[in-house]
Amino acid sequence: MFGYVQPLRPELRVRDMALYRAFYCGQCKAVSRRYGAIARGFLSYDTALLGLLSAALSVQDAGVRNERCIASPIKKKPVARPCAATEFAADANVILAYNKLRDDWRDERSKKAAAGRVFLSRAYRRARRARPDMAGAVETLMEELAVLERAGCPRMDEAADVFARMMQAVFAELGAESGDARALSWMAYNLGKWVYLTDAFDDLEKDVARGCYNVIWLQYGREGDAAACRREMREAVGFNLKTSLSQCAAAYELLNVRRYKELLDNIIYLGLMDRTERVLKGESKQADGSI
Amino acid sequence: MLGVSEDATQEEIRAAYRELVKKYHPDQYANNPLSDLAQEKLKEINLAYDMLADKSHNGRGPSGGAYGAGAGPGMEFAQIRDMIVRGNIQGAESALNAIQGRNAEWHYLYGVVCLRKGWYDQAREHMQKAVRMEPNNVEYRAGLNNINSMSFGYGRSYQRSGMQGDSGGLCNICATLWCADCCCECMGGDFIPCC
Repeated sequence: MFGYVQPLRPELRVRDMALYRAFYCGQCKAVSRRYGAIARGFLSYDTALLGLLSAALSVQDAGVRNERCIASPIKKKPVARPCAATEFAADANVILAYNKLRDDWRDERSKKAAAGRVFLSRAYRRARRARPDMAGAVETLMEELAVLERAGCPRMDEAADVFARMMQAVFAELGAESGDARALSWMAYNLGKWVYLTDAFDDLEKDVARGCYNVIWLQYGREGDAAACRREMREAVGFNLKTSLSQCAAAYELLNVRRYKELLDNIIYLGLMDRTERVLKGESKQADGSI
Repeated sequence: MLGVSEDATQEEIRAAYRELVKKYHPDQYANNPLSDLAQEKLKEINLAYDMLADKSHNGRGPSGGAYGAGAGPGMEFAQIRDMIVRGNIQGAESALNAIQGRNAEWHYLYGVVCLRKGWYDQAREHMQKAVRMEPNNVEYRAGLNNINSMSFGYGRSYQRSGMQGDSGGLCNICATLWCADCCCECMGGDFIPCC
């Protein structure tokens, strides 16, 4: 994922902000514990949602405690206690980050991606052992997406579908123990679809300039320039993004959320919508902490 | 279930109940594969409300699902509608793909299938095609309206948060007042004397 899934901070209460940070830190510590300090460098905000959602749905709450860390060696900060939720987020983070790097290396021959892959390969082997189903599905679907992109698929529904199914595979482990599997699956599908199309519209100019695959550019018909494409496609992309989000939210409302509802509400209703509006206006920048 | 405290008043219970019914109303989940879950949730809410509220109430939403109302000429479309109602979306899709002549009803049903799969772009395109081919068909027009309005409810809390404006709300109020004052002045009056 690309760092798009975040709360809308100005609307966040102070304690919810602390909670969000605590989950981000908890995930970071879990990555470090399970995969070593180097893997920490590939942390993403997106998977913080996974940890948070997992903790919100589980029967027992591990809670938060004050701890020091490398980034804040003197002052203690709230960190989510090690639990199944933070471990799940850590595993998902490593699996998604590694596959993203592999994809970048294949597509753009980016040296940064190649180096990152080398650093992460050991961690990935371990993550793969811990979650073979998730890693296998992500690999297969990334491959399917690469084939589709090489063939120049010009339909946004079709390209986003593959990515959305990948998100379903990641969320699948989250719903394994709770009775929310179906709602989670539909939520994941629509969130994945939103992430893929948001990224495509956000990167439109960059992709067109570099000649990289961009489904919105291809569906538009590749005539004129990226600015014309952005103008013409804004309505259609906006419709797809907002419809996906409304379905994602409808599924979210059916989940049995036991805690942290205010923070989750903020992410689902405000954070995602704010990002949508900014991407549609063309003023989104690649988010901080993205992989 | 209703999210109210133990000592909530009848008013509070009713308000919470109304809010939840609105949230899980069948209309909100009209084209959502999770509509049955929403209906279950609504049942639980009704049960909880019945337990809390001493007097009986009415105004519960009717259950949704309005497919199968159209009078399709071919047997095939009737069967496909039946598949959609039963939730066999894959079956409906392959049946539709096997049909050669693609009339308005074909596009409408294909749009419904796309919608259930989460392929919103194609869904809208096929619905638009159906409406273009038969502009007077009420069912197709309702289908298209439905797709276009799916996201309306979602953005409401964001708009309420006031984050989406280019300028602050106060500025807008001032500007509006100033404009109103200008209009008044043109007509001979003046409700803000200093400008």
